[in-house]
Amino acid sequence: MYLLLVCLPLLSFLLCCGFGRFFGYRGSPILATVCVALSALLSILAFYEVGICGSPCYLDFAPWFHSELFDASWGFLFDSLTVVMLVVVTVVSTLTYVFNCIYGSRSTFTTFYVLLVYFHLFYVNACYCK
Amino acid sequence: MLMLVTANNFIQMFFGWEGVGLASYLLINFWYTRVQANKSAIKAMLVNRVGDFGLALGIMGIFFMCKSVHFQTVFACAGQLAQESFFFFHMDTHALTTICLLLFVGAVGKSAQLGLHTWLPDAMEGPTPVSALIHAATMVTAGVFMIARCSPLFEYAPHALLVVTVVGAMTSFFAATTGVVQNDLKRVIAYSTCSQLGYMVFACGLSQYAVGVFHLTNHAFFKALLF
Repeated sequence: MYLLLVCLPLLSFLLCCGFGRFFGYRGSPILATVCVALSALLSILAFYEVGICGSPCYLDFAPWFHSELFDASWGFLFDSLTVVMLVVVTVVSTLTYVFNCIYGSRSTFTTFYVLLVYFHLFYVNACYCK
Repeated sequence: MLMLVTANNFIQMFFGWEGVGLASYLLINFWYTRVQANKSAIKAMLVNRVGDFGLALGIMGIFFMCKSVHFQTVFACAGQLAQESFFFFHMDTHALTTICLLLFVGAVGKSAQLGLHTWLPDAMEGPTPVSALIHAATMVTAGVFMIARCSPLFEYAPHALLVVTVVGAMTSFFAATTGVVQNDLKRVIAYSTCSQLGYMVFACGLSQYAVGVFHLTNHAFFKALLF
């Protein structure tokens, strides 16, 4: 669940980038909004587990930099501060995306949505660069 | 942003930090045929680089002292680190105070505190949803998040906390008074954001991190609604 929370916006970014033309200017915003909304739901769940029930979650994901003493790996730390930020970021983004669907309906920019998701997501795509 | 908040070491956090900066640059430049948008985007990028430079130096200092960039290791070392000192610009300085001040320079750049705040009002050149999402609600709070995350380090550096408090208080006062005389509505909102961020940093400087993060949450929702 915790990994899915972070990876859902990445998924929507890759789909919008690769198949944006195929989904068209109606499909892409809906796809992007649904993915971010799912992410928001998951982060509220994570908030319940970590913030209210008090069980921080620590994931060691993959090695990244590994040289002598310098050891920085891909890892995720979900403690109370992180989940508060997650709820803020994903819920506000969901609301903005919905607003965006109305605001952007007059223009036909799918790139807009791709860029917005890109903002959300830039950080995750390095999972694939390793 | 998700990568920034879920990171468990400083390098991954820095990666997310830079990613947010890059995405912000691209989004401000969304209407790339407008000269004003190009100028604002370049300005935002350059001002953010100054802050990132401080953050990078801070992370290097942390690695120099602790030989690790993992949050748990570094925060566990904080107590021992409080007695250490190192040479910075040929001056024998208290290690933790220097590191915290450098980290705070990063927060100043990203959270638009006094001195590096000039990019935020210009960043309103971007489309409205982008301003609502990035330049009011989420991205600009990264600095406050970073201060709250590094709170174990800041707690052992009282002088750094004093600087954080003074800069935060001055920002909230200065931005609110500047906002009064602006004509453009979006710039008024930008200065208001700047002022609220000053309150958050001010609260963090007084060691009330919970208050700072609480105000961050409230502010993110009402400022996004304001757009």
